[in-house]
Amino acid sequence: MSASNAGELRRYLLGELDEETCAALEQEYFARRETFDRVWNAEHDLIDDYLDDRLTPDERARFERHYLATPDHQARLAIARELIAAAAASGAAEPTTSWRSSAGVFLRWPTVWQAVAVAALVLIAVGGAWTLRSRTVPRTTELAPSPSPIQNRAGGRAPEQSQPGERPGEPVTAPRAPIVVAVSLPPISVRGADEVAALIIPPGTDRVVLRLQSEPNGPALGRGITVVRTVAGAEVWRGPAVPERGVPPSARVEMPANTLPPDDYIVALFEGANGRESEMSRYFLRVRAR
Amino acid sequence: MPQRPTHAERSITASGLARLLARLDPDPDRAAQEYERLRLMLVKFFDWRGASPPDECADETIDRLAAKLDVGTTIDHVFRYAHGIARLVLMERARRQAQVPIEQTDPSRLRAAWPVTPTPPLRECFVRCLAALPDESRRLVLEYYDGAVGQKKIDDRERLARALGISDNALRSRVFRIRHRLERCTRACVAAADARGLDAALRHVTGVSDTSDEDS
Repeated sequence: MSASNAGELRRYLLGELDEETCAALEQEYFARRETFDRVWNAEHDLIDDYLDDRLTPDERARFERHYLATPDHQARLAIARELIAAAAASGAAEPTTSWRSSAGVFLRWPTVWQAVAVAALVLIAVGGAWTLRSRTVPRTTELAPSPSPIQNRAGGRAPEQSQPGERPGEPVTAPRAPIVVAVSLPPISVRGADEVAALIIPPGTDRVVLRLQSEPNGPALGRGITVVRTVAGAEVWRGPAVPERGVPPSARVEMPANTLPPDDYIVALFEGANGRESEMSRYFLRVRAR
Repeated sequence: MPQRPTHAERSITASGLARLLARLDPDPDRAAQEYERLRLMLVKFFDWRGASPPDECADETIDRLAAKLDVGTTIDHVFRYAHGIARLVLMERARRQAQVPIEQTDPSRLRAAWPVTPTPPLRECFVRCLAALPDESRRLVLEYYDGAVGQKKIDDRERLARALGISDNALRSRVFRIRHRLERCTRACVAAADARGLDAALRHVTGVSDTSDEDS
């Protein structure tokens, strides 16, 4: 077989070649380093194409079934994902902080501080990427400068909202309506917006509602699990996501306001159940003090 | 002298290794480089074929190759011969492990080892390993994957290659080598974190060599 055929190399990596063809290719790459390098490069390209969503549906399915069947390959994919996020972070930081000019200073920092700094970059990257790419998408429209957008003004309780401090058997005396702020978040992969909008949670707010928009042209979101982490990776909350109709379709997530102190967060939406969850989308959430 | 893992099952002898090295190249330094190149090819062969763990399979192949040399077997092309042994090892492993067809494997179990969402050890190890890269390597790999898409990505990478005075393919290979080192460092750190705790693992990530075997 010809090692110059990138399609054949990809098929080899996806386990689609017959044994005879595999052996011929392997003989070639054991004999010629250039061929070996080509196969290895093809593997990196395959992973990058998977992460960039550039594989055909068949290739994607094959990649997930065959290539990701080994822990080594799963690790490779996870690390590639981290690398791309880190690179997006460094690119996003460039206009304000030159990576080149700062490198010398950075490298003189103690290793632990280097790690902390890179960690922050990695995770802010995810939001940064959204910042730089989302020009065609209107900015968040439900950002709540005050605790009112979906506050229950009639004094009653919103159907699925619990009352903080309420206990069975206690007399209910003029319950205060929960104060809720809501924000719609486009997925990180969406290109467009010029800046990341900050959510301000005023003092006294009880609940925060996130509306997690589906991927453009993607399927409507079903029930799932949402995990909220700080950019440093600390999980601060996880809970259910409920599908909501609308344009674009979204998933609704509600959480106590006190779980979100001012910080930058990565929100990951998973679908599935019984240990078969798969990540559907990621979102960047910036919470700031008033 | 090339470093070898210390698997209890290894059967290679000092004289067998010396004979293999001498067969690879009369010059000791070049022989060591060739040994590492051979081992890397074997590891990747088993990795691409889905045999696990690839390192162990590669070492078993090298042990058998050295044993063949020990008994005076005539070998014209060491690398090709090694490939032949590797195929046998692969088949034997497949029989021994009574492989479950990939299509019948439970995806949730497969994902368990390396979940889609990075766990703290993975993320922290990755960050530490990235910081431990030499400055030039880190800058290069981050610029290469700087988040651009489409034509801009192509243009950016061409510009980067021109700035370095190398071809697009050479740039790609260089970046992939750095990526490989980063992966190796991160995985070693995660394994150490499992065994000794994250703090201890992170303390041992002090530098990621820029002159690894596969670059030679």
